[in-house]
Amino acid sequence: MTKSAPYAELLKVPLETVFVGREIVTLDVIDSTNTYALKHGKEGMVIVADRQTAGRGRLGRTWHSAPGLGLWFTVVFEGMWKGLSFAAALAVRDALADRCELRIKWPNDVLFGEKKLCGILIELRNDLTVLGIGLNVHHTPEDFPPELRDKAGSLESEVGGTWDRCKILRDVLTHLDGKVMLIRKSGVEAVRAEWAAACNLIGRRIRSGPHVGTVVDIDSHGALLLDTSSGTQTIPTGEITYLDGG
Amino acid sequence: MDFKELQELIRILEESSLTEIEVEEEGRRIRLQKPGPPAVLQPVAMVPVVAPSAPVVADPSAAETEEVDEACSLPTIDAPMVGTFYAASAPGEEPFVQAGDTVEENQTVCIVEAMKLMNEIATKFAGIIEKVLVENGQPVEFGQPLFAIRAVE
Repeated sequence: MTKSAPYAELLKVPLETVFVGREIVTLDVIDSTNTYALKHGKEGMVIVADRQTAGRGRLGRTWHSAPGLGLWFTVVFEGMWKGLSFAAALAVRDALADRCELRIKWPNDVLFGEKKLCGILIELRNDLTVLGIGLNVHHTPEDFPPELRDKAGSLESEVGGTWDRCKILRDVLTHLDGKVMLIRKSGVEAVRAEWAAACNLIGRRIRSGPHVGTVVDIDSHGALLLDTSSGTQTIPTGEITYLDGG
Repeated sequence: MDFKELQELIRILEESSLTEIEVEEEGRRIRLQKPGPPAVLQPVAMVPVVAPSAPVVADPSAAETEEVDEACSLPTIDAPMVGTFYAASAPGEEPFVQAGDTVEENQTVCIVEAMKLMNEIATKFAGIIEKVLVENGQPVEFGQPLFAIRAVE
């Protein structure tokens, strides 16, 4: 196992989890923890890297992962895991809940105020599901590229205080394990309902592409069910605009 | 297939509302067609409904319907979940596959996304992509056919 100084503690004290973190790989530098996981991943494996040279977002967007400043990691699951998107965002929120109140923004960002602190990217290939989480921790505003400064923030820049990436990782993995076991035991509904409440969209009037309407629910895939003048529309993903202020 | 089976097939076609039957066995393909208006119901039944933004109805010109008919008689690669269909890994990139492409078993043909869960859809067998049944960026339903694929031994 490769050792990387920031996460050495992670290996010293075993996690109190059932599933997540059965094996932990810590790397100094990797192209992307998701890419590594898609190649080498096994059930329950966690891959964490101090630096990503090619961190990815959705659809080929890059995830800005400055060396040493954030928490970049991936958890591996075998098979298709319904509800994982819900579990991931809730785990991040809950892991940090004693120090800050994070909010979840549909389709799946984690924000403090209006600043995005955390991105989640799940990829499925050949029955392997890799859950990538990027959390900005130590960044100052200047550490982000100018075009991101209005939108992105870190725990230290937004919430303040000092943060320990290793502790955050332990806490997120522990919470994630709890959510994953809950899905296994009780199904997706338990986390779906919690997530739907957290993202605070039900009852809001929005526009998504050509559709304008009121969000009546969020389905088990995370799609918005939009009540429009031409019936209920399902909005699986994409950009939305609030039409009722806020 | 022997003569008697062929006769039986002709009888089935004549007595049904179908306009075409295609059977393949042991490398031989037999396709029977009868004249008459294309059965509009068939493609509608085969392509379960679809994104509200892309209604199936459209103008069923003969040529187009026939094309869909033929594609529908082939095996399809279906959406495993509700989501958004992406033909390429990123905007501006070449599509994973296009109609006419030869694909290998377990080759990625598209991505279906829901909630930033990017599901890479792969072929289950080698073949030729006969038709791409959805548009890039289109919402897709669970089980909706995305590609018609002709198996190649």
